[in-house]
Amino acid sequence: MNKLFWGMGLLALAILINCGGSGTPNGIAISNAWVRPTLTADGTTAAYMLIKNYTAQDDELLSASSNVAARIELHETMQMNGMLSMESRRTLAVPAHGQLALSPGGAHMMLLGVKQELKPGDQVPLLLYFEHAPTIAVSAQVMDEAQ
Amino acid sequence: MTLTALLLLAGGALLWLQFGSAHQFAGAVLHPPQPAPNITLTDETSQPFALDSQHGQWILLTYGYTSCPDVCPLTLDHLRQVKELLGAQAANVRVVFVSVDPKRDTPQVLNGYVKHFGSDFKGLTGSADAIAQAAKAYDVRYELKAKESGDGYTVSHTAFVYLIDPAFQKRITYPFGVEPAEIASDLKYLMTSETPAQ
Repeated sequence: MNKLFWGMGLLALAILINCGGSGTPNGIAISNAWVRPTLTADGTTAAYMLIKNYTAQDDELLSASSNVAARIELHETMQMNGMLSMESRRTLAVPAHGQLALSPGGAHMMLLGVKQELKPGDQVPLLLYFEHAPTIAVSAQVMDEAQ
Repeated sequence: MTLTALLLLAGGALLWLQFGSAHQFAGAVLHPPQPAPNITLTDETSQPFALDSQHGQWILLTYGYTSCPDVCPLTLDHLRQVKELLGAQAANVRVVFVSVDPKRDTPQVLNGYVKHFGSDFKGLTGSADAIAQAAKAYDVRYELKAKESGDGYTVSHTAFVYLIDPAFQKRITYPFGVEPAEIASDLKYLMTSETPAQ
């Protein structure tokens, strides 16, 4: 009876620890991931999200992939003398205890060769690859603007 | 003493009325307004379209291209929101989007693109020469850039929004990223404070 009691106690403790409770998040956390609808047959669109780094180590977003797109590139919209251009980025920094915001008019993921029409309300699965953090799977919602 | 105080108060009130409540515009205002250059291109229904056919409307004119994943959808979504914010007055506002990538932006491609943002949005394309002339008319700069991946190209371009009034005069130039509420506020102000063109 004692063993059972202690066993249940340990199990309860283990469950509590694994649920995380209201403790500080760790590792990399992704939030507010969204993708613009595809509006042309060539299937080019952009994905945005907030990437927070809760670790003490600087990290880099290396690339991303999705089964809906032939390819995903990292870009940053830059403005110079009124001209707006998209500069290709090999990686994007996610600083320690900091964040990388992918948002309209700034850094973003460019989805190319999207094979199906993406309409508001659809979900797009994305895989994000980092230099240090393990690969993260995200489900981004297709919408016209950030909520 | 009392008369002086009263005069000062009155003077102050008059100054406040003149300057204190003046509307702050969110873009560069042309003083005085300039005649808007007319441009004639092919619209999203493959018909010829002259910008001055919209004489009598408030026109929000911008340039971009449909394979632009970030800047152009943001600008057009902002203009969609401007119309939403204007409510009934939006009927007097016409959004016109001119392509700086006529090679890929055929009328059919433009049709699918602009109609996503507004059923009455116009998309214009044409020959490379016609587009170059239309861009020059509004000091729009654009440049094709081969992608580093070697596959295709992007187009760098200026992304201003030009406000043209019902008398077909250029009034305000908005830089990229101005909030829809600010443009709507400017339009509401101009609509109510100016007599409609004859």
